[in-house]
Amino acid sequence: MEKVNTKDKKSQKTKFYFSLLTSHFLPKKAQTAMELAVFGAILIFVVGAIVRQALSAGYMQNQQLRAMRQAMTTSYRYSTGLAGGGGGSGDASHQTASVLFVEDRLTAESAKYAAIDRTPYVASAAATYSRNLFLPVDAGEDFNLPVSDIFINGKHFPLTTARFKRVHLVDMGLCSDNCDPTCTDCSGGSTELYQIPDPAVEWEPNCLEQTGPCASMCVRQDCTSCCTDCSPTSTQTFARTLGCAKLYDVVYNHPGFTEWCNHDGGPSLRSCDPVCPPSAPGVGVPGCNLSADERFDLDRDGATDVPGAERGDFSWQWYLVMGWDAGFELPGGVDALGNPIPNPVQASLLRGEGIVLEPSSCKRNCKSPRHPSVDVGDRNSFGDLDLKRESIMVNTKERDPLPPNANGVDQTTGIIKQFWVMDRQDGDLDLTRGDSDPGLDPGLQKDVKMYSFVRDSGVDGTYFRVEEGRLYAASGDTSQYIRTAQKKDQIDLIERVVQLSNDTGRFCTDTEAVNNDPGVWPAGLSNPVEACGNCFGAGNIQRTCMDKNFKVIIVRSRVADRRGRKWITPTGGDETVDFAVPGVP
Amino acid sequence: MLEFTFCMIILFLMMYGIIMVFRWVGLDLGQRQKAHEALLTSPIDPNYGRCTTWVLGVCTSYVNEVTGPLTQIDPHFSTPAPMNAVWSGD
Repeated sequence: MEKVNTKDKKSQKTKFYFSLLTSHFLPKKAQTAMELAVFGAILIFVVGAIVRQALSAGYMQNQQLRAMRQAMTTSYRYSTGLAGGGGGSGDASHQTASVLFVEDRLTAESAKYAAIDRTPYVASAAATYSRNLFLPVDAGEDFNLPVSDIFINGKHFPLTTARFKRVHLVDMGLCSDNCDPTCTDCSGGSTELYQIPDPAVEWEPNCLEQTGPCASMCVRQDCTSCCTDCSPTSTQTFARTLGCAKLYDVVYNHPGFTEWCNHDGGPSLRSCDPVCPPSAPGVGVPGCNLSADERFDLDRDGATDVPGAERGDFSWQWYLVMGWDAGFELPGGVDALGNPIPNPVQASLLRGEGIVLEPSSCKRNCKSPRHPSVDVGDRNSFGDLDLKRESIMVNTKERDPLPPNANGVDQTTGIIKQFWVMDRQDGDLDLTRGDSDPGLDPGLQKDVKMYSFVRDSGVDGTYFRVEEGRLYAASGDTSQYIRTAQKKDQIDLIERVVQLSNDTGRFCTDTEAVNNDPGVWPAGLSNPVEACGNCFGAGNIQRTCMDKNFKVIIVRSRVADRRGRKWITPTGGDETVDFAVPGVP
Repeated sequence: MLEFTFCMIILFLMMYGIIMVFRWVGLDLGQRQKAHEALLTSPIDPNYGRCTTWVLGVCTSYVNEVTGPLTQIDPHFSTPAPMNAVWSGD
């Protein structure tokens, strides 16, 4: 008798049960179909993902190339005078054109009513056409102010990144010309000066010393050495101390800046000596400037901010500049041989340095500019509050561009009374803003809201539509049988917020009206803001609106979407479906 | 054996399909870039913007400025091909 092994028995049992299981649940004949179905589904998903990504990449590439070309075109057109307010010579507003495109595009998807999701595509570019790279810009030429262009769903927002503004330093003049209440002698021929500093400006009363013979200028009041004999044969001299505005320039920690210093005292090259002595009439050291502690008082609040050990590695410091035209000379005369004789009345600074700015009309023997950009006032007094320098417009030295067209420099002392600046922190957008600056980040904010309107207040309304398995004649083509149609008629309202740095009045007037002044919006440009104030009221909720209180433009893009998809089966020659649509009884 | 062959044929067809999809999407990107660069370096009329007729010291007609660099830097150089998959009719 054959002995059956227990192990073999177990194996046979297992095979039996497995064959039962596989024949019932996993029929071998369907394995191929199942594998193909699973693999095919995965493959179709992958193909869909590729198509979707390809569409996205295509949009992005198209937008990037378009942004780059738009920047080049813009810079070219404005620089050559084909656009902008500069006439045939072109203007400087888009020397370097900066363009930002934001577009919300439909994605590739298989939704119930065709694609409804939108993806924002953002691309930016900058380009420079160098034709007007050194174009001298004068105050009052607003068309030359730099502009950054933002396009949001096709709507153009040209935002200025600077503004011209007048900086008033002091009212001053001869008491004989204008008898100010502070004058003591207003008689004709009086050489007494009155000075009324602007309260918003840091003022140094002991800034400038003016000296000269009493025979040339009879100074009897407000002087450290006054005239008692003003006859033509007088040998007396006078001396008087005048005030001027304290301005601040920046010097950098580089060997090219010889003004840089780290510490007071000592013979080393980086010493701040001479440091200006405390202010007193007639007291000063020509060429003296701020102490090391004052130079490194970065916010100018009276306390130094950079410890001594770190000053050698710090990048910048303040430098005192006085509101005095260092290129100013009182007109003298000529001798018998025609040689110039300098005016015997002279002025010299008791502290700091003056400003040298030749007018743009200067063609020969022009002095090199000195301190053409300064910061005015201190953090606590001046409305600017930015501790950043402004560029002085040289044309305003001779003549104010606005009435009464006053001369910016006092013609007897050289003290600067006012000038215009191009302030790069005072445009629609302050692109110089750093992390330490107060306030909100200007520009396009991250928040986006999208509303879809499928029915308006009219009788027609709008719709989401799905038609399936229904017979009807397609418009103008009776030979087609439409199997499925998915369509919509909606408006996507996409809301974004552009935070402005300043309300320059370009978009909305002071009376909360939309600014359509052709001086601000010349031909070819239109104000993109459609409403001012009450941005969330029923009348304005769908409009691009500016809120002057918060200095924001709420951009509302209205994008109509009437697209969809349909599946069309050609019916020509098909006996089954090629029949006439029955007429309506 | 027959089943394996059938599977492999289907598999090859699917892989061919995927490769074609890759090729299609790559071509689209490549061709747009190529069109962009070709247009940027395309020849222009060197006389663009110049005066052609002077009357008493005043220029009365110019060579159109558009024939100059503006042709090379046209922002709308590429338009997406219309897709039959999108239905914008009634």
